[in-house]
Amino acid sequence: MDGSSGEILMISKEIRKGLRGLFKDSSGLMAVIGFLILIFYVVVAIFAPFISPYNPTQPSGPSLLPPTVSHIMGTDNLGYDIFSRLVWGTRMAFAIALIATAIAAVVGIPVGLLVGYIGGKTDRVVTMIMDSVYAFPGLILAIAIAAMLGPGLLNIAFSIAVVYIPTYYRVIRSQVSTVKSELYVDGARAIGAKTSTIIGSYVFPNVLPSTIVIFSMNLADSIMTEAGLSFLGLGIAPPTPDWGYDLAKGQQFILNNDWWMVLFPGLAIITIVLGFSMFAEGLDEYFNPNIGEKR
Amino acid sequence: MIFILLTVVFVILRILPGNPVTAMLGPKAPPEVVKSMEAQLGLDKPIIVQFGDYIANILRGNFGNSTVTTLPVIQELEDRFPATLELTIFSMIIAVVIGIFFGSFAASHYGRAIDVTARIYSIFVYSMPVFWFGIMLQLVFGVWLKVLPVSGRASPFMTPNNLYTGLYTLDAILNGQWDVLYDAILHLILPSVTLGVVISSIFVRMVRSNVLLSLSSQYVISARSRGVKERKILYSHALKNAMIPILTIMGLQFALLLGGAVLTETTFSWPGIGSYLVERIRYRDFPAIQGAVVFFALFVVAVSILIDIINAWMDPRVRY
Repeated sequence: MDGSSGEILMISKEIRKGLRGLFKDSSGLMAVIGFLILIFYVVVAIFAPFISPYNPTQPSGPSLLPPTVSHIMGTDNLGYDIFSRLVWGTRMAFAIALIATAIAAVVGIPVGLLVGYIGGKTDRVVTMIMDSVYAFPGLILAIAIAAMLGPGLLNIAFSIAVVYIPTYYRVIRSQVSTVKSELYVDGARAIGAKTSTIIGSYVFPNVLPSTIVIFSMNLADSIMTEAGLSFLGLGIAPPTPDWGYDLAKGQQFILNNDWWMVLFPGLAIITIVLGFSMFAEGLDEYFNPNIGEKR
Repeated sequence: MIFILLTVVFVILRILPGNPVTAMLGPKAPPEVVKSMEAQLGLDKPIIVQFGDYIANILRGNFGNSTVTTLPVIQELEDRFPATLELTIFSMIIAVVIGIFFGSFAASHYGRAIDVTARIYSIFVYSMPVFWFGIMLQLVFGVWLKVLPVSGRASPFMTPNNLYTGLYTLDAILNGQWDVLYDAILHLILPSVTLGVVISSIFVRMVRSNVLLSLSSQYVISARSRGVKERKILYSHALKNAMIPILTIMGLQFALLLGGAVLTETTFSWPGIGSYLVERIRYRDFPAIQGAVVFFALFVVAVSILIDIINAWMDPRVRY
């Protein structure tokens, strides 16, 4: 047996050990399942042109066709292939969720860091405003903003982002206010580090893990909110493939028993949201093992 | 709190890019029309004056007139509010019942099948869009089984004779119209189950983790050592003490419930404030949109005050 195969054996042993550790408790298993679901949808989104059998915005068969071999999820009232629309809709879901969550993070994290570090009156005022936005029903806030801004990918992403800024702000601020009284921060200040350096290299790395967890949770919530907005007719202009819009259209035909127009887009939303939230929950228990729901 | 919420609404509707007049008339409206519309809505005044008018009008209960029906918005909101209230009350009851029983049962069987089921239930239901669940229920109970109505609050000619509260179930009882009561309950089942089940996912989690926490406390250990029955420990020691944090969290979830109510009302053509908001967005009826959003803000504040009062009543340690 040569060296390299021995090495491979060792690596595979290590992997197995790592995997066993992951699967030992349910949180690790959840993170893995969530991650696999996400990978699946990322692949679907990237390879949408190759996966989808038909053009999602052109009739490809008779209208209101139940699932058959040629149209595995059936067709809608205009003869669009549901499966193709689902595949292309993955792109829309990811695009809006990612842009919205990124905007929320880019605004919420720096404000939280800065305000948490400064403290005092600024802290009280900003926190009060953020708490009020947080207390407001998120979907209704997004509806109001989306109604004012009008349709369009960026507008929808923006209206969702506003809802989630306080989530970042609250978590980051509360962590910063505990981290900033740690000895190493005092030490940095004592050797004359600039405020920007302290926040950037001492405080931020300590709050980074929670940021990743919130980011993942927010992606799940953003997809739900986006689906809600487009269900209410405030989403991307049709006929762009979008799960929420397809669901709303499907509901019009529910009394005809045309279940396939509703079932499949819904399952897509559920699984992708499940993926993100399982991943987030697993990460959360990994980063904060003490806070987990343990007896 | 109320003031900040109202300010947030104002900022969103007036200051953010996206002018209500262009939203109402569309981008191609002639400038004179835009001007006169702005004057009519008071949007040509300086922003600070607009803000003063806005707050003053809300205090007076004046939300302006709808541009679609020309009726005062406040009157339309009053007409629609009982439907939303009835839906949210029944959904909340369903969510609380599922949450408390399932959650505390899971906590007392920690790590066993029922506990795992509860965790899977809550994460699965949480990932479910409320409108999708509603449509599926419509499909099963309205289309396949044909046992429940799928839209509206009542069948034709089945409304209570005298409206005292606007809640059809309560008014039917007050009028002694039992057939109306039966009809109202039939119409309520699907919407409130939809909303209640979706909200219950969070309640199950919260009840479970809070009961777990109090099950490991000193007073439970001492009760157990005194030989108190396990069932009694669960319900009168652990659950009772866990109720206070649970109640606070439930109050916070009320905002989520209202967001879900907008979707549920739209799904079931339920004539409440949520469907009013969505309907008026389609007509670009700015005073109505503003009125409905302000209304939701006030509703949230009212519920959080109510929760504080209940908390003080339940927990003798809380004093104001």
